[in-house]
Amino acid sequence: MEQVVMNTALKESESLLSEIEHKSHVDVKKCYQCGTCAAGCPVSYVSDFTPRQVVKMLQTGLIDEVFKSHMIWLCIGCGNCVARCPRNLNIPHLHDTLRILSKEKGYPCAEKDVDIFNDSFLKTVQYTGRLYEAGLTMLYNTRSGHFMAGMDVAPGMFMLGKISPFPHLIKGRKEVANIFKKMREMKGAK
Amino acid sequence: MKIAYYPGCSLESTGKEYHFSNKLIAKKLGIELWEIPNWNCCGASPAHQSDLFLPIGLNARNLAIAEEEGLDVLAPCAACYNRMLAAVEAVNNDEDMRKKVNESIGRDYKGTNTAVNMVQFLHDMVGIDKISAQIQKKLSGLKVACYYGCLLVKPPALTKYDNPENPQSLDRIVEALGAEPIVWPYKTECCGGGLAISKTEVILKLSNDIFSMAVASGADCLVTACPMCQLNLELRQAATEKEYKVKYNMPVFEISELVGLSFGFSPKELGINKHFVKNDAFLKEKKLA
Repeated sequence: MEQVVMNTALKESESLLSEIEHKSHVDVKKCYQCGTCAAGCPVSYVSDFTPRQVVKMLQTGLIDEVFKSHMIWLCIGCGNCVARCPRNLNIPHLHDTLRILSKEKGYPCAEKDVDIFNDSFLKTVQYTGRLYEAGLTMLYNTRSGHFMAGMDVAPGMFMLGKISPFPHLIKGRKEVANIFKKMREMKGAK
Repeated sequence: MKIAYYPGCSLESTGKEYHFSNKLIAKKLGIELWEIPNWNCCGASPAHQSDLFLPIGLNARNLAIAEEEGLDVLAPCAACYNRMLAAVEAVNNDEDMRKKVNESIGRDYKGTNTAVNMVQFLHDMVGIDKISAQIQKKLSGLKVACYYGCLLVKPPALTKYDNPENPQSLDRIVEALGAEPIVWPYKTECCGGGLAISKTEVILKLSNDIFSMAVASGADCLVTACPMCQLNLELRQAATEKEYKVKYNMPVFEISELVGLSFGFSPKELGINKHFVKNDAFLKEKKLA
């Protein structure tokens, strides 16, 4: 029988795919495309691709498209897919790994607001030790350009004493800052 | 019984009532909640979506402080609980990771303790019998949709808790309180909490799915064991109603609030007056206030 020649995309993506598999501990070759993950995914209706398609694209070497996709940014990590996957693929963790790698490799982010929200959230944790809700809102709104985001619910929150204008500063902020420092060192070491 | 208590950021802010009611019922049950001193944020979804090391480091610090005291950790927020379990697993499966984590937190975390969620704590550790013994007022006539949300039971390989599609433990607690847990299929569907600010429209759709199924199944309220689910489902309920031209006006309680009501605490003591869906009339009608 004549040997099937792997297409160019698949060949070129080999090393990138093995990096993805190594870091996520997810073997995408195991997926036999049953589509159970896509059927149960609560965000595929707003996304360009379903989780099943993301895995298929990885299997066929379309990694550029995966890195630019909305799905890797929209996945909420609810775990429906992994709970139902007959092959036990940890798809939420695969999506996490894909967004981390796509950012590291400089791909344009398909859902900028999600990225800005995450980054703003973590900035408040880095400096105060805990989430600083008012600080997060200020950072997110100014950086995303959605100046009124959350403003419909903020007055109710303040009235019920649920959010404070001030951060919760913990003792041990240095330890928390060290965790962030270690993270940057590990990123730089690669 | 003594257990380390990790309130997480929500319980000090948007989920204050959950904090109040947890502390009240624990006291009544004779349990000491040892709050982890100077605990830090678990990083929630932003941490695990941004870095592979960061969420493990952040959670390992809290776990290490509890381990030094020889305690497991009660994490009433389903997201915190999930992130803690992931950190325990990562540290225990990867010696190199453990080393890096310990270097960063300046402690020696060994990975000998674990995290439990609020339902697991009440159902498995305290036990239905001990809860039943404290009941002063049966919550009869209350039809409750037990909403576990996603992270309490998923991913099952990590949580190893109850059934990911049709969990029962929360139902059993609700039943013990004298209320009626309804049979419904959306127990573990996601409410979209993680996208609350950056993609609000997703939440409106998901919560509309959840509430319409709860109504169709005959529920008159929801009960959760997660401050993110509770907040999300109540705070955006008005917007959901507007978007889908429906009226739910359905209260979403925390499990410790229902337990607290059955123990005879007033809604105010439990912080139930801090809810976004006003429930005074509801509680009166059900003879709970």
